[in-house]
Amino acid sequence: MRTELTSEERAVYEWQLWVDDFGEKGQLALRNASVLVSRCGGLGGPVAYELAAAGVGKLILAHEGNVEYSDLNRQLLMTQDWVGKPRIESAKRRLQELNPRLEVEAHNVNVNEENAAELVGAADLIIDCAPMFEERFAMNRQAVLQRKPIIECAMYDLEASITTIIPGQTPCLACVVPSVPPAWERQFPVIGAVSGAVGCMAVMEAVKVLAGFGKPLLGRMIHFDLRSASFSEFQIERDSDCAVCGSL
Amino acid sequence: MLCKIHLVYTGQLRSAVGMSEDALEFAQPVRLSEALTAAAEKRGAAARRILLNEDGKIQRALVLMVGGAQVPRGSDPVLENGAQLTIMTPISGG
Repeated sequence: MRTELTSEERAVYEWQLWVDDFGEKGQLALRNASVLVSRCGGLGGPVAYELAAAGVGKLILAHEGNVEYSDLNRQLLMTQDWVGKPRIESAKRRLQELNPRLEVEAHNVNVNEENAAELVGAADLIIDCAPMFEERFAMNRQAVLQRKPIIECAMYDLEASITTIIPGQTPCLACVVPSVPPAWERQFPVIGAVSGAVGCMAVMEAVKVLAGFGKPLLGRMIHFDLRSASFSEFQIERDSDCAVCGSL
Repeated sequence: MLCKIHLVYTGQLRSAVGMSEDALEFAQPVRLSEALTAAAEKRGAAARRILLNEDGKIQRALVLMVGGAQVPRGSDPVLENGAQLTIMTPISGG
């Protein structure tokens, strides 16, 4: 574990070291942290990019498949010259161009029931950017079992929602969404700036939780609709019968 | 006294019904399940498929908010005149 920033790190992060309640202590907390981002597409791409810029020490990325033309309106870590090649390689390359101090552990696989324990176990915090509820439920189960904080963010059309989960303290994903929604479809309308907006909010939640300052979205969900530029905050409740966290 | 319930539709439900806000009027305060059934009837088959299951019960995956708070799962509170019911269809990343 690092106990001091290098002179290069002090120079790179100078403007955020000036942030009240964050400072060098907060920066060191980020430097010593590992974050799992699943996946690194429209939502996870901006998340990973902002985490890299903020100075998180290690990113664990899980995303299967090759870049497609239809990724490029929102998947900011992908480039047109990389169409047909693995997304995860494009993501790693672009993140390390931005921050050569960043360690990237890149997995060309999506999170599933078989690998969730190991991937979650290697991280201090998880940001769920995955499209499939089965994948999200697998991460949620492991986050609860291993008592790891997990940021849940999601988007659709010009809407997005976000909450922060601390197992045993806040509702988990299964408290809020107990089963796969029948209306959900893998492909859906979205403008890239919507995923970027909620992705940046997710990174701020991660920075606050890791650095231990501010007021994270615990037991609260923000939903916004950029069609009308309206934001709503809701109190969300733990489900005492939750199959995942009800016994905590 | 008339009981007017304000509805906010989000996600796939908003897409299905083509609007984000709606209103229902009842002769008296109603239970949440009655309001959802009335919304399904008012907005047609696409809304019904999202709001209700094959048995006509509330879809389990819906996230329901009255005012600024989530409705506890399994509860069916009475909605008074002026209540705002936000119906959220869970969304994801991608």
